[in-house]
This record gives sequence, C-alpha cells and structure tokens, in this order.
Amino acid sequence: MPVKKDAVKKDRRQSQIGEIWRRLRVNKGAVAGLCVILLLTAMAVFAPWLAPYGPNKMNAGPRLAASSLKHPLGTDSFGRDQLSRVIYGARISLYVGFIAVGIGAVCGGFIGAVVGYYGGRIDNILMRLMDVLLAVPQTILAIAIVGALGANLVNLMIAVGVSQIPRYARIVRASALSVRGQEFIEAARAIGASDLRIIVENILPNCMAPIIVQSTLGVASAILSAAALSFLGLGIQPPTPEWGSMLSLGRQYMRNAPHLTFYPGLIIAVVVLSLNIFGDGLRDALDPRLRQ
Amino acid sequence: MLRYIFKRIVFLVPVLLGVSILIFVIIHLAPGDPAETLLGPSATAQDLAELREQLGLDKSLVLQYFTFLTNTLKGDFGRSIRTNNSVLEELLDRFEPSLMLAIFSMTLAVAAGIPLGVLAALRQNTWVDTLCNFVALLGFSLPGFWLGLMLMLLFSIMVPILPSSGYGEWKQLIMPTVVLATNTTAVIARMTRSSMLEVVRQDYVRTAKAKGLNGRLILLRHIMSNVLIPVVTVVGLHFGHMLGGVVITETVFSIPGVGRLIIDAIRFQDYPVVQGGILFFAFCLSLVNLGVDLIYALLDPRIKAQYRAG
Amino acid sequence: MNNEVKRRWWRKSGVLLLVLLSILAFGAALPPVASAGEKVLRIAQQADCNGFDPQKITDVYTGTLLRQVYNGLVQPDENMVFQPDLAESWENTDALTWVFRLRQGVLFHNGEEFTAEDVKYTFDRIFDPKTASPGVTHVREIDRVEVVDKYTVKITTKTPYAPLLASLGRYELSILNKKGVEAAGSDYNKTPVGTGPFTLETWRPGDRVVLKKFDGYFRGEPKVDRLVFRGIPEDATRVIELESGGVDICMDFPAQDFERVKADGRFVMYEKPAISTNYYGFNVSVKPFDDRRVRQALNYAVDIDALIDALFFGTAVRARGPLSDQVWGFDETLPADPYPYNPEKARALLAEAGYPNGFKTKLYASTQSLTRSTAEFFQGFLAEVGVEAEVVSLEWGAYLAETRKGVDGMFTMGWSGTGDADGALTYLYDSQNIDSSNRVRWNDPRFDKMMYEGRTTLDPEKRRAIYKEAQSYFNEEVPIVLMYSRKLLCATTPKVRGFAVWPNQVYQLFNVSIED
Repeated sequence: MPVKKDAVKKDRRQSQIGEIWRRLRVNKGAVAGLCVILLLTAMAVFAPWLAPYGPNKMNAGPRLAASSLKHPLGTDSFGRDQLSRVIYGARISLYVGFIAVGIGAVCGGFIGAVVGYYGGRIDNILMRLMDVLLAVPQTILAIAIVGALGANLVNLMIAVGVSQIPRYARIVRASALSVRGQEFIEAARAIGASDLRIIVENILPNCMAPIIVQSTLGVASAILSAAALSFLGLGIQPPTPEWGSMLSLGRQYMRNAPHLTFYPGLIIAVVVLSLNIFGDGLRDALDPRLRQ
Repeated sequence: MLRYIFKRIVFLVPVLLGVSILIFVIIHLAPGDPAETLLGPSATAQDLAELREQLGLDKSLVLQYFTFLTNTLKGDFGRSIRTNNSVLEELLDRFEPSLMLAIFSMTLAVAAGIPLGVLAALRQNTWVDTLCNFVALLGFSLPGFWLGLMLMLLFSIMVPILPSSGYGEWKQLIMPTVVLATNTTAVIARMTRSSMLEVVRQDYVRTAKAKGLNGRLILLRHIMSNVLIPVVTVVGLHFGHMLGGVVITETVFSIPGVGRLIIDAIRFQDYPVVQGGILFFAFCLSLVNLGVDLIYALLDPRIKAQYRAG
Repeated sequence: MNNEVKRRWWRKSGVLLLVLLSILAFGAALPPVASAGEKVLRIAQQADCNGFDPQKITDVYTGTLLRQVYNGLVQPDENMVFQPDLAESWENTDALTWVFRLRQGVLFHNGEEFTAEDVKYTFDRIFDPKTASPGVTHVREIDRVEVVDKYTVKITTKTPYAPLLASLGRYELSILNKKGVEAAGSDYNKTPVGTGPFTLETWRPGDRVVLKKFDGYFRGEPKVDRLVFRGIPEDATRVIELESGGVDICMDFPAQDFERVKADGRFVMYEKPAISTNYYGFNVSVKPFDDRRVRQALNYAVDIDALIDALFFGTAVRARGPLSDQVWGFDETLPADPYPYNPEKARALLAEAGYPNGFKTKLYASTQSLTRSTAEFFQGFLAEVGVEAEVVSLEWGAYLAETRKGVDGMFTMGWSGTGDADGALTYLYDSQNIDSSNRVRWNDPRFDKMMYEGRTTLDPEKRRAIYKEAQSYFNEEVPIVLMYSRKLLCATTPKVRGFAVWPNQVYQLFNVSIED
C-alpha cells in the first residue's frame, strides 16, 4: 500500500515538474538566463582546463597589459592573466552565492516553519528576532559580521547568509500559517505523525515554490553582496581570484588599465542578470496566475 | 490613528534593544580593541592597560553593555574613540550627505521607475514591454560599485564633465545619485507594471472606460491612485536598501556620509560610533517603515478606516 | 467631475510639491565654495583628519595638519635637520641636562603669550596617564621638565639621551597653551589653540578641513588666506581631482599614475625618499625563524626589485639595511643590495638549516590593499623555494594586537620613527620593546648594547660609528626581510610655489604660495 502511495506522489511531482518546465520553456529570456548560468557553472567546474594560465601565476605576461591575443582580457598589476582569474573567479562567486543562500534558506526556512507551525510565543520571539535582523540594513549587517569574525571565505558566506535569513523565514512562516489549520495536517496529526515529520513532509513542500524563486534571486543578491564586501576589502583574501576583490585591486589602476575594472564587473553583472531573469521566469512558471 | 502611531512607536523599543544587543555582541567578538589602534604600534602593555581602564574596556561585557544602554537612554551616545568627537554630533554631521543622496536617489527612482513601468504595462507583451523589463532587470543586477567606477571612468576621465568625488556642489551628487537610484528604479518599474496590469483588469476601470471617459483621465485618476500603494511600499522597503547601498556609493565617491563613517569605525573598532551609527540606521529605517504605513492610510481610506476601528 | 476625486488629487500634488521644495531647500543648504579674491590652497591627502589634539594623533596625515596650526620646540627642515622653532637655541650643561632658550613675543591663537610655562604644561599633559597619549613613547627618556625663567626651560633625561631633538621635533610634541586646552575641555580636538601660521576654521569629518591664516604669526603673515585639506582615500580619485582642477596639491600621489602625469607635463612633480622603511618581519622567537640561515634564505628568495616595480612602479628605494638613507646615522658604505635575488642560494640555505623541502608558514598582513598585495607577492616567491605560506589579513586593530603578541609566521610593517637612527632601531629591535614595538621579538644582547651606547653617546661622530656597526650586524642577523623605503610623491599645479617634500611626510606649508 505505502509503496503505491509514494509512487503516485512521485508521479504527480514529476508531472508537476514537467508542467513547470513546459511553461518555463516558452519564456525565451528565462531559458537564455538558465543557459548562461549552466555555462558559467561549467566554466567554474572545468576552470583548470579552460584557463590558459594558473590564476595566481605572476608574470604570466607583462604587467597591466591591455587585451591581446595571448591575454584576451589583459593582465593585472602582478602580470597575472585576467581571463584565467575571471574563469577561476566563477568558482568562488558561485560557491559563495549558493552556500550563502543555503545558509539563509535552511536556517530561515527552519525558523519560519517552526514558528508558523507552532505559533504562539515561539512565533513572537523568533519573529521579533527577525525584525531585529531586518532593522539593520543588510550590507551593514554583513560588514559588521565580517569585521567581527575576520575576513575570509567562510565568514563571508556566513555574513551574507545570516543577513538573508529573515526573508526565507517570512516566506515559510506565511505558508506554514496558511496550511496549519488545513485538513490534511489534522489528518496527519491524527494518524500520529510527529511534528517534525509534518513540517518536513507537509509544510515544507507547500512552500517550495516561493523558496525556489527566492533562492534563485537570493543567489544573485548574495553574489552581489559578497562582491561588494570583497570590494571593500572585507571579503575573500588574496590571492584567491574573486571578482569583487579583483575590481578593488583594479580600481587603483583605473587610469592606466581600465580593463581591470571593466571585465570583473561585467561578469558579475552578467551572472546576476542571468540569475535574476531566470528567477523571474521561474516565478512566472511556478505561479501561473501572475502570468498573463 | 494616534493610538496606532503610539503603539507602533512602542513596538520599536524591543527591536532597537535587540539591535543594540546584536551589534554589541558582534563588535566585541572581533579580536583586538580600540586601545590598540588608538595607541599605535609602539604602545606598551602598560599604556594599553591604562587606556583600556580609561575607556572602560576592562569591565565585563555585561557591565559595558549596561553602561552603554543607560547612557544611550539618557541621550548620550558617548564620544568617538578615534576623534573624541561626540558620536551624536558626528552622526548628525554626516547624516546630511547620506540623507540628501537617499532623497535625490529616491526621487529619481520614482520619477524614472513609474513612467517605465506604466509604459511597459500600456504596451504589454510588445517589444517595448520586453525592453523595459530587461532594462529593469539590468538595473537590478548591476553592481553599484562597478557602475560607479564606470561612470567615473566615463564622465570624469574620458569626457571630464563631472567631478569624481566629494560633497559640496550639486555636480558632485549626480553620479552617486544615479548609482544609488538604479536598483530602486528597477524595482519600482516592475512593481508599477504588475500592479497596473492588475488594476486595469478590475471592474471599476472597465466601468469607467464603458462610461466613455477618455483613456488618459482613467489612467491618472483611477489607476495611479491604486498603483501608488505598492510603489510606496517599495519606496519604504528600499529606503533601507538605499541606506545600505549608501555605504558602497559613499566609498566609491568619497562622500562624507554615515555609511563611510560606520565602515571606518568598524575598521578602527571605534565601538561608540559603530553602536551609535547602526542604532541610528535601525531607528531611521523603522521610522521610514512607520511613515510608509501612515502614507498607506492616507492613500487608501479603507486602511484608514481599519485603524480607526482598531 | 467628482469633487472628492479632485480634492484627493490636489492633496497628492501638494505632498509632491512639498517634497520637491524640501529637496530644493536642502540643495541651498550645501556648503558654499570659497569666496572670490581670496588665495586658497587646496590640498588632497590620502587620509582624513583625526582631530587637532597633537597628543592623541598617530598618523602623519593629521600630523601635516597639526604642523600648520602648532609649533614645536624644534622642527625638522625638508632635509631632516632639526632647526630652532619655538626654542631659539639650546645647550647641554651636562650629559643629562638640556637648556632651551625660548623665542620671545610669540602669540597663541587665543592672544596669550608663549612662555616656558606652556612648555612645561605640554610635557606634564603628555606624561599624564589620563591623557593616554601615543606620543609618550617618544619622551619616555625624559625625567623632568622645569621652568628656569619665563623664556628658559630645562629638560633632564634619565640617562644621557642623544636623539632628544629628533623626539622633540615630532608633531606629538607640539606646544600647547594651558588656557586653550582647559577652556575647551573635551572638545579640544576641534578647537585647537596653537602658535602656528594657521588656525582651524572648519572641520567636516570625513570630508575636509579648512584652515585660516593667523595674522599674528611670529614669522610673518602666511602667503595664502586659507588651506583646504581633503582626505581622499582612493588613489584614482585623488589624481582625478588634481587633473580636473579640484585641488592644487596632490600629496601621496599614486605611483601607478606618476610617470603618465609627469609625461603629460601639466603639473610639477616631486619625489623624495621617505625616512620610513617597510619590512617583512619574522617572529624570530619561533621555529623555523630562530635560525639565521632561514632568515637569510628568505631574504634571498624574494625579488624585492620586482616587488618595487610591481607595487610602486619603481618609486621606492631598495632597503640596504634596517634604515632609510634619509635617516641620520644611515651607513653609506652598506652594499647596494645586501641580499640579491637568488632562489638557488635560498634553497641551499634552507637545506643547510634542515628544511630541504621548505616548510609551511603564514604571512600576516593588514587589510590595507598595499600590504595585502605585498603578502601576495611574497607568497608567490616563497612558493618557489618550497615555502608554502598562507596569507592572513586582519583589520588594523586586530593586526596590531596579534603582531604584538608575536605571530606564528611573518608580518609586514612600515615605520617612520623620528629621523634619527635610534628612532627606528631601538623601537623595532631592542629587546626592551618586546611586547610593544619590537614585533619580531628579537632578543640579542649584543644589539641591545649597541643601541644603549648609541643612545647615550652625545658625540655625533662616535654615535655614527656605533650605528654603522649596528647596521652591518643587523644585516647579518636579519630578523626581517629587507624590503624598501618608499619615495614620497607629490604633484602640484604650476601656480603653486615654494612647495617641498618632507621626508617624514609631515609637510610644512607656511612657505607655499599660489599665483593667480
């Protein structure tokens, strides 16, 4: 019996995904965005094969050279190949983006589900806590956290992640509140399902759609925040090729070598734009009511 | 209505209290302390100990927090460890550039975002719509610090018509305003578009159309007043975003605002300024949110009626 | 038309109008630009002002501001020779006692006459633990300061102290006026009272400082009416401000733009080596840096010339020892390059010391982009001799705290000192300063003894000989990787006259004028 039920569930889920994909496919922008993201992910994964030089290899060419055949994006003040650094930079940025959102979504989702499900005092306390987090502008909160913990990759992800918690908490809480009183939850409880199980099996799947959309957009904003922090010198440490810190270094040479500020910024813009377009399309696909 | 405002202000207290604890804990987690930066590399252990005692840094954290809290409640934010200026004075001094920047940017964002959104909605599903959408998304995706540098490269170096930094004349505010407004413009445009599409389909607009009122009047009277509500929300929510974005913009354009003050203070571990500054930010943000809710009421009599009842 | 709708519409327009008006009002409130007919000299510096209480300041940028507002007993000229300032002359009545004759008829900005009492007050204040002055480090050797008569003071040192003048010439020892300080109370940092050629007019933190000329200045009237100092941390922005006419003098001119602007020919360019030195220190109290061979090896391993090229575009001088060649006591006979780049030799020395495969270590740096870049550079070169180094960068406060305790690896620092050999060597390498400025934690009795002798010998020639020996001994032991001394770069518009670069980076602008 249970086997069959699971199979039905799985089946329905698959057809749901198929339906979403059908709707998404129509949106050319979203598909293009997705392609760019996949391409960049591939670039990150295959960086060692794609990059013409090691990302930290000094004097790979003349210093501060403009674009040339040997160095399509030029070289930086250490004579490092800018293209190689941009390619390797995709690893860091995507990594930071996804992990930070992971931190935000998991913590936020959990908090949201718990408070939405139990309500009452826990709800009050935790949501006030979220209000506290929301009362401080995100960038400043992240700066303060990185400043306190020290500037490195892990702390950067924590800082960006923590500052994203409230938005997930709110989404999940809202969904949890809306399903809490519904019959199938009552039913699950009646057959003796534990609270945790109800949350995981019944509440979370119901707010998956907004979470997925928010996460896609969240990765975009996390990449931006991380780059901004690195730009301020509070992010990832050298010589790790991170786009934001590359920009920050390049800024000193804006007059002699504008390409050092141009390309890293451009690639950040492209990644973030693709994620945003894709996230947008995804939202439309997941929630057909909005699409007219 | 007054009762509602009062209630909201009372609600602010626990939030600000929470912010103060959060910030206090965060900045004290950092290794090193202001005594080090103040005395520099040649300080001796004894000098440091004396200065710490003077600054009260040798006390327990709990005690330090309560000293800070009671002083703050008395309206005394203390003095900057770095410059010895009164924190409140310094904040107010540096608030003007940030506020101006925020106001200018918000005005620009509204002035550019609403027409963009209206245009997209009116020409729904045409290339104009697609283009507006794309421009909006682009605006949402550009890193502010990069956009700033590119503008600087363009208008201060290649075609030197705008000053690259500083604060004092209106020309210096053009580029920072544009940079700061970009993101919000995008959001407002999108918001305007979607709420317009929603409103257009509603009955009373159709009725009005059927009554033969001319199209432009319908647009102005009926649609705009309903579109304004979500836009006001965005303006409110984004004010916080702007206050954060101000940090980056101020750094890029060397503008002496609160954002840069806080960054420098975090670097220097100037505890009173960091605490005061972030609390100040939180306070402003909360006030803006309150203001937004009040404007809601003003724009929508139905909400106002609710407050009266409640 | 529906009246209700109309009214609401008007109300909304009213709100909008109000918003617009308030924006305009804000615009009008912007600070005015200098009025016409005045001579205003506008200067861009790298950093912002930290206040006007000299005894609280640790940075040369604020030091430059203080120089315009205050005088010291003595002051270095642009060749770092200490010249009379508020003291007219001085003599040693014995090895411990210095008697200063003060200049008469000098006025403070508040109208008070400058006397011996002010000198005494200045020292009393800096010695007071409540002041918590970082500058006290330069006067620790002073035992007491006494007023002999209205225009004579006597300074007694604990031991014979040859470099006293160099210490007195620092901006931290600017002479204060008791009434001025006490009247201002805790606001003294923004209401300074000095004897200098300029007084503080406005200080907008984070933005600018405006100084106004002081008519009663004892050397005569300044040649400009106002000095406007702007702290612009971004290199590129600072240069653009000069090029676009936003400032007349650009101090701390970025190296990467120097050649281009020089070639441009529109500006007058200045360069001069600084008294400061930058080094990468080892914590010599821990393995493997307790072994001299390892330290020497790493000196051979890094191509400093390449570093100077990469980071400063050649505008730095390779360190020939622990001192800059601008510092009094520098040994001219030192080889131009004590440790030429030689990775083979480095590997051989490492093998000899028992590290044929290198080792792992950490390179500490502050978050400042230059030191981070230096660390990156070292990382690259150390890797080539098998030393795997991790870059750790910390915010300045944490960095100071960590390096004071002694790091598990290497750290980089710059030091300007006083312009006297003692002002650099004793602070950084004498074992009495371990846990303070001796961050390499070098504890070498032989070197300590030389330092003691150098300090207490009043005869300049004998002192020189002592420091000469100390420098060659230092180069053998090398508790640091010798790096470089920066050249100070400045650029001015051709209208600016009488500008000079001060090797201690604390500029005196009294003689600077600007033509119409």
